[in-house]
Amino acid sequence: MNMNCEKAQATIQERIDGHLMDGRELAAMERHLESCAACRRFQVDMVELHDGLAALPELELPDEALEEVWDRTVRRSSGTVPGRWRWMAAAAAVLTVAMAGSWFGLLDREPEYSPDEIARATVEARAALGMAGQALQRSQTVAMEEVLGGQVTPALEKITIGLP
Amino acid sequence: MKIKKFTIAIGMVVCLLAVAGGLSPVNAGNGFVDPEPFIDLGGEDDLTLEISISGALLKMISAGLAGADKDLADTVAGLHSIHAVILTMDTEAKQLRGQELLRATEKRLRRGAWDRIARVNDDEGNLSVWIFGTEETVDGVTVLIRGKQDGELVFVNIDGIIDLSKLEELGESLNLPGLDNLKD
Repeated sequence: MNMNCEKAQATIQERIDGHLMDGRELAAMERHLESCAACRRFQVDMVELHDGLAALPELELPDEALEEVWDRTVRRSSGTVPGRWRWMAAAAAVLTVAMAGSWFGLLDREPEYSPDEIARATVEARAALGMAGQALQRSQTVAMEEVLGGQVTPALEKITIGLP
Repeated sequence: MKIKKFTIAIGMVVCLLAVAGGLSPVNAGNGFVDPEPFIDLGGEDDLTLEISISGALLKMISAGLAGADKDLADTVAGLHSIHAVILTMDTEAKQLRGQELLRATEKRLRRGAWDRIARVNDDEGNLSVWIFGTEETVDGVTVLIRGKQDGELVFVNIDGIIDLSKLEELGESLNLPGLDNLKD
């Protein structure tokens, strides 16, 4: 039994997914793999993908959300849930999944930055802090000039000191 | 059935609130002032500079500066976010809108228990410095500047614990290497 790449890759996927396989089909796939580098690469990629997905944390849906998904799918044909509520239930289910994702930190993963991005952000941070610092300085300089120019009187001078 | 509807409705409200909470700025502290109104006002034409740094990036900046510039590293380490927006508005109508935005922002700051610690009004323009915090710490600084001649509008918000004397020192030593490049 000879096998082409398309069939071999379908067989690889079925085997990784844990389907029951025909012995002759498996043997043919192994023979094909011996002579086909592209399919060997495909198999490695599929195994990596499968392992990666298997390593992801499982999210447990609350019972209510499961019930709403059930309502929306299995009980749909019975007509017991009015259309408006079906949509709302679907929205609730989607939002619940999003919320669960958020709780598990899937939405808030810290991004990675390249050295260039960090260097640029450092210049930006210095600039923004410097601008604020200069504004603070300028306001104090103007206040000092006004005091020295007699335009304003420092609060201290208004205090009557009981000197003899 | 009524109970079921009620449960779904409550569930949806809870979900909406949770998701909305998840989408809000993660690292926003009490000293955060939203820069969006200024960015929106500038649009693509009038926005000269926009700086927005928060969260992990601030930590990385602080870690990177630890050996080279300890003062700046320490200052950055206490912050949640830094935002700066510079707009250059060339028409009178735009400048008027900018002035209105500054007034609205000042009103918002005052209502939010911010204190204006300095205000300068001279030929060059208006400048005001606002701080938010307690008697012990400053938890936020906001600077608003309006240039009268060049139509420039500046908004700077520093959210996080900050030492004002250090901030002033940073202003003194401000030689902005690469600032011109940022404007490109």
